[in-house]
Amino acid sequence: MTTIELDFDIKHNDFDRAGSASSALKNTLKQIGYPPDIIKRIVVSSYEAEMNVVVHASDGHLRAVITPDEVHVIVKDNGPGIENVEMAMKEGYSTAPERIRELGFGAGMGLPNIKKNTDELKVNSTVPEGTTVDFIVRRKNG
Amino acid sequence: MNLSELKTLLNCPFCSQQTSGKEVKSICASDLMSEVLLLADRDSVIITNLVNLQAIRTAEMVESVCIIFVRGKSPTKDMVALAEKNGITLLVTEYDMFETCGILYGKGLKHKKVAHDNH
Repeated sequence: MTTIELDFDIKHNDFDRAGSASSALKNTLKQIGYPPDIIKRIVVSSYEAEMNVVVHASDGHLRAVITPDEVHVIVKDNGPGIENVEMAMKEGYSTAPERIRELGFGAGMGLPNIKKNTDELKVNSTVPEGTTVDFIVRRKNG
Repeated sequence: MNLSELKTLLNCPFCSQQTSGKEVKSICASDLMSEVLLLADRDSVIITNLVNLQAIRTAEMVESVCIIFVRGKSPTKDMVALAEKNGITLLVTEYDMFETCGILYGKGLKHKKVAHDNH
């Protein structure tokens, strides 16, 4: 298998299409035979990151680089950035408004969920430029 | 338990597609989709009050086989279409969350982690 690169634009507040990038990533991983438990860890993480952009940020972009050994996902948005990344990594901490909570998100579990499901996670954020969530999930054979 | 038995047990007035003999392995009941993403297993059933496209997307990510919407809340056409595309059955029950969970728990269906803790 050669390296596969996928790119998707993510639109702020577009709840109809929210999750479509992770859905396409999931279908690709299924087609090339990634193990189901690894696919789940990848798409749960990418979906959380995608929803973070839809909910909190202005528009953004999801890039996935798939190799036989790992999947590297980079989700980058155009701001407003996270004031306190350390706090955002804590379960239950959220700055989401009520209307987002009514949609089933904004409970302060997004970044902690990504951390639990990935082998490497880097969150870089600058106010007001934006945030990059960069993670790797490795395929462990056997 | 399979999906047909589940539909009968909960007196579901709405079912998005023909329920099959697909086996239900575990249950995840929540209105928080991040919690479902964290806890739901593959081939699970999600019980929720949340009636929107994100509930379907969440089920797709964790490979749930079915979503049960409680208190008679019906899904939209867009939700039904997305669920069918992903092979997810949508059921509606008039029971509330507490009753729905109680009925299924009484029939031996549990969340995997609960079952695991009992071992």
